[in-house]
Amino acid sequence: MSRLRATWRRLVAVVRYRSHEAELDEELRFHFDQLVDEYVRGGCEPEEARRLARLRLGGEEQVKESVRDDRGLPGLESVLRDLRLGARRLLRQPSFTSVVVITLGLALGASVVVFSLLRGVVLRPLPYPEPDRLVRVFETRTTVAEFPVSPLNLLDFRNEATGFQVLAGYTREDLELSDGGEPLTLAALRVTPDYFEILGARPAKGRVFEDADTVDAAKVLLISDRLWRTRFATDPDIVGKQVQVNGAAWTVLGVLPAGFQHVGGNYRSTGHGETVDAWWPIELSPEKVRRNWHYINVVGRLADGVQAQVGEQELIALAAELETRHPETNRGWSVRVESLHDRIVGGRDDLMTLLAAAVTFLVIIGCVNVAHLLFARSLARRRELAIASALGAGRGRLRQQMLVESLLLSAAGGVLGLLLGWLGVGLLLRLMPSDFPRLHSIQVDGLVVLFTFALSAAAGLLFGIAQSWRLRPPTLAESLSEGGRTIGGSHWTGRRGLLVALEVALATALVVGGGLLLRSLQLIQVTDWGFDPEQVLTFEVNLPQQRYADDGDVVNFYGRLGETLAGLPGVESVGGANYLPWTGWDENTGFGILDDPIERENSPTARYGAVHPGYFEALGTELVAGRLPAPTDDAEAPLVVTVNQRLVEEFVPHKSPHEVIGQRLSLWGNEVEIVGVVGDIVDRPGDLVARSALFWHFGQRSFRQQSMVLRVEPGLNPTSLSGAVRRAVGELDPLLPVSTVQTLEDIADANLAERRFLLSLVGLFSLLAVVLAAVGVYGVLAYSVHLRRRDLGIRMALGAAASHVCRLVLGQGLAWALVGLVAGLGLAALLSGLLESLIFGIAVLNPPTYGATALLILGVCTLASGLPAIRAAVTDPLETLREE
Amino acid sequence: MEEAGEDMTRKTGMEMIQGTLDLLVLQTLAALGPMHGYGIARRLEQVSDEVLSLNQGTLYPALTRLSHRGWIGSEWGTSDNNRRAKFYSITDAGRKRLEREREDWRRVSSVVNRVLAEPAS
Repeated sequence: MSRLRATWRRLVAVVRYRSHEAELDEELRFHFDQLVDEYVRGGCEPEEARRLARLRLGGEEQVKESVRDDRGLPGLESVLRDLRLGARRLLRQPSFTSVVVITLGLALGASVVVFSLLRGVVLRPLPYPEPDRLVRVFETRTTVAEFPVSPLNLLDFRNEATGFQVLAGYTREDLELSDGGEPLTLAALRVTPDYFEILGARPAKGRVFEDADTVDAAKVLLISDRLWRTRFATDPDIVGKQVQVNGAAWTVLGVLPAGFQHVGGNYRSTGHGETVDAWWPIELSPEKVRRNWHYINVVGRLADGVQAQVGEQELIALAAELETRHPETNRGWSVRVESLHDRIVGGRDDLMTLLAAAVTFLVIIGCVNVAHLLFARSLARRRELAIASALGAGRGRLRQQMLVESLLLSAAGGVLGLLLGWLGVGLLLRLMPSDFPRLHSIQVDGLVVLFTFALSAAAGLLFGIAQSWRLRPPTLAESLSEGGRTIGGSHWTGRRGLLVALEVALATALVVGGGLLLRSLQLIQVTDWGFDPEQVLTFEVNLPQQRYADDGDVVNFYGRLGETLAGLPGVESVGGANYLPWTGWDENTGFGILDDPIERENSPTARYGAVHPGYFEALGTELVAGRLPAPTDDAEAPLVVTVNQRLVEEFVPHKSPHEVIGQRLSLWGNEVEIVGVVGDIVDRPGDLVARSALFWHFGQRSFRQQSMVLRVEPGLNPTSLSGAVRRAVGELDPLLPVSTVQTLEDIADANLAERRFLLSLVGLFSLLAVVLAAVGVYGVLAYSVHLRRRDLGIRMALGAAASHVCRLVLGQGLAWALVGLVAGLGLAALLSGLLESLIFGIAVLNPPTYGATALLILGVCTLASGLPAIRAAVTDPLETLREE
Repeated sequence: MEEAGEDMTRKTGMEMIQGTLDLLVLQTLAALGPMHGYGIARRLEQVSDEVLSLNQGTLYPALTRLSHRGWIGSEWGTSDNNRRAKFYSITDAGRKRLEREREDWRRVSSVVNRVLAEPAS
């Protein structure tokens, strides 16, 4: 009980610190005066009496300190006091404090950015219930790693697989909304009704699809929250309303909640996230679809307790059975299952690891610098410490003081880092490619804040401990007499040197990484892409089936559109195709080679498209052999195709492109003739080889979904034609929306955005690292020159030339730098595997990059060591010696 | 400082056994009623024939400790020479404590005495 009360009083005493101090003062003063009085009465002179009393009572501060220990909570109380003192002391040294806080702020800010990125993209669970049970399902063959699933196979999987609770299918099929105002293309998905069940989505209004809705005649759709807000002005009665879609009246069944996220997909799908405007049902009836059409993206929810591999095994077994049931369509087809998380985030592992490593290096460099500064300062404070300890501060108290001060510094650094990181994340989001997975879930949230403060607290603790590690407050006499001269032996500088070398090493490794990324981006930019993105405008026009049911109408429409566009001033060539390069869109088909001398295990497959005359000219793709598609290749003419070089190399290797002209292929049940060979276009920049491709000529195979390409004359801004393009389409059919008007350069840029983003982050980190390392080299060297000024002064007084002293200091700095440089190059080589998948066109051990890095680092270190060296050399030795 | 410390030890001739100061303070306050710190110190010195010399660094922490435990109370009053001084007085809890401490002390000292009574070989 009394213990409890004592604790309470102690707590009260903490709060009432000031008044207690005043009372104690008064009490001790009274005691002292009484004693003096007594001595005086005993016959002493007042002066002598005071002296005796003071001797008798002991040091006043020490008495107070021991009373304080017994009065309040000495820990808490002294911490509060140290906080106050520490803050005051730090504010008195603004340059020291700001250097430390800025260094920590930069390092922590960088780690906030990277951690937010990691958290948002990798660590945060997907926004669906039990996301671990979600998987994507693909079909595979030996020649192609993954295909969308055939709708009829999907139906069989759904009926027979027990390892899955649900298997849902979806595929992109945009809708044309022409409900007053400008016609609009809706990014739309056709989904099986259980798509929403799998993802745990409840509509914000209305209902989701039921099985009865899955007939084409139903004409129903769900819309996104965004569309509801932007196009329907948050109409509260939207559910049940009729809207004009694809030229007919459709019913809005419901609105999905804000933030509902699509799982993404690489085949005819929008990216992951809130990219979908509308959903409509898909009909998977055997009458409507065929087993050899692979076009359905599949997402599944595993049954409770079933592992992804087990589910995969079951589907593989089912696929094998389907092979025997439907040998003509299913031979060679199997199944692959991948967790949804891996699918969405996958492929970014190396990037994330690289960024995490880069920022770790940066944080280490920053911390080493700060540790330098703190340690140097604690040595400079030896006299102050000696006085403090003579006045009664124990070693523990001094340690605590240093710890509190370090924590104050690191907390300030943490706050600055958080601020910088928050700004950085905002910048990052603008810089990042818009199709980066889970971009929208990147933010500075509670966990990121917690992480930052944990990191800064850890740094603070480390600094405090490192600072006071070998703290032995010298006795007052020692410290006052030494004049701060005897510290800093070779032992001390040696250890500092190692730390400097560490900084240089980490900075070197970062610069190598940044250099490789830079070099590889440059290489990609000068590589022949197979098309020329400059001076080209593109846009999409999709013809609704209702009004353009006849293939002839489609061909006719695009033909007239092409003519109108070609007539626009400044347009050099006009073409079109069912999809454009680097848009992530592709179509694949099997085909046969007639009179084929080669034995093949698998039938050839290739990308296919359908191109207008003028397409390759407008794109800037080179004709290698034969002729380009011509307007005369129409429905009456013999069927012809153009192929790319890769197809010739892959499937007709015994012939040159010229010899392949006239070669006949079997395609979609027809016999077609190769009339032209064009240059290759890789799927994505940085791909090493293109996929084989063949192109129908538009007059012979038409598609209602077309991207048009206009090449304009040099000097004309392609986007200046956007208005004219819309008018041209409107004149032909006022109900048609023109969508995704963009230059080919925009498309190309979007594909390079991820590399640019990575390069700019790593580049920024490397720059920071180099600057911090240079500051570290400079700081430590300058400090060591300061410590050795007597030694150097004596040398110079004895006749050493200034250049000799300069070389001596420079040599010391460069020796550390060299050690660091060599270690850094080694470290870079060791970690080069991380870059393997991120760079293009050069080896990860690219000698010029390593060489250039070495030169850069040496140069920077020479500069950083040069300043203290010169200062050492120009100091007047007499002055230095007199100073002592 | 060092010298002064040595000096004092020599003069007192004995080190305080941990906890005994508490007992002495309580006893003094119980016997003589409210006193200020200086009075307590003087009283202990007189009683011990100057063998026991209390420096402030020992006395005041002890007074603080005893107050916190609730064994003594304190009040500001006026001293003989008309100065403001803090007067300490024993509380009921303090008296009980004193009783117990006294018991303990008797027991301990009798044991120690008995041990010491054996002739050294």
